[in-house]
Amino acid sequence: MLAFLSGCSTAPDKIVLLPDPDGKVGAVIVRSGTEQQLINKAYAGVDVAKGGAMQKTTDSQASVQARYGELLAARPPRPETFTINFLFDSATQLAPESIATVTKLKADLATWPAPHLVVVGHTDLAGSQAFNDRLSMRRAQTVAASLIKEGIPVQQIETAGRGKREPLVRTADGIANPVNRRVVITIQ
Amino acid sequence: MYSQAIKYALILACGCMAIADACAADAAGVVKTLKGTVRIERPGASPSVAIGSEVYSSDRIVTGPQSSVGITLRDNTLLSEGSDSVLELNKFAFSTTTYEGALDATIKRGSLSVIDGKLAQANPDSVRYSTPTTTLGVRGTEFIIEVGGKGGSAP
Repeated sequence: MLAFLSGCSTAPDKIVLLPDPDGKVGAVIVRSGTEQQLINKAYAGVDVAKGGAMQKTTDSQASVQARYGELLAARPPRPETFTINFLFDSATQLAPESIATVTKLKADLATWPAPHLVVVGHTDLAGSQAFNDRLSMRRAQTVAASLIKEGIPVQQIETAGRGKREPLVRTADGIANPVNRRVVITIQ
Repeated sequence: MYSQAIKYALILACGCMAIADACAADAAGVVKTLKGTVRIERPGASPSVAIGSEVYSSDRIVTGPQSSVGITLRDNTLLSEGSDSVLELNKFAFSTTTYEGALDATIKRGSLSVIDGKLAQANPDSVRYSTPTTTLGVRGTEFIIEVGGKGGSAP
């Protein structure tokens, strides 16, 4: 920190890449003027001087925690997802294990800051996009209704249908698959 | 802008919660963590900031000394802003159905941490972060930006 402060008027922009909780790392492309750098390793970074010159850096978990502990502590909680399956090719009949899922969800909600639930319906790949958009929305509304019945305030719930755009199991178009008929609830 | 103006006019006119709720989908995100002095600057409004406050496209979010704020955007992007920081949320749009949209944010001063959301995962070219000197493109990841120069280093 002191070293940084002493370099006051010429301090560079600093970019540091972090691993996710599973240790996976994505990538960031840093551009300034005509220069460009790609970083794709945990705790790798780039310093960018005011004039645009770049220098690659390597930090560690400890140095990032020491320098940015407060910033990292201020991050919102990571969204959690819960999946509800449907009994048959139905928009209304939930699989029996959904009761336990909702109980767990309610326990998480109790400690969540300003919780917002995004309830998104999905279908399998049988049928047209327009048909599945409507069906997935009906599934989302069915789940939303059961959440409201469980006492979750309606203002906290948003519903959407993603149709057949995001199958859990990739199949050919037109194929029925029970695993893909689901509603995913995300607590934000 | 126009629709926001109408919205505020309606809210002012009847103080009606139902209208505020109907417009909740327009919000870009929600404040989830808060410490110290945090201000949201929005043309024609100066909303007080609390956990649960909504953040909109074009908002400017300013933190004071020893302060911080954490914001969850509608696509699951998680932002946190450190002390003495200025963040401009230039643009945010997201469709939960198609995952199309845009996210453009500038950290003018201070520090920003980002955990990418669905927009960056599905549509990385629609997401851009910048400082006054640097532009970042993202590929589904987590990172920190600290702004250099005078802004980030006042003793």
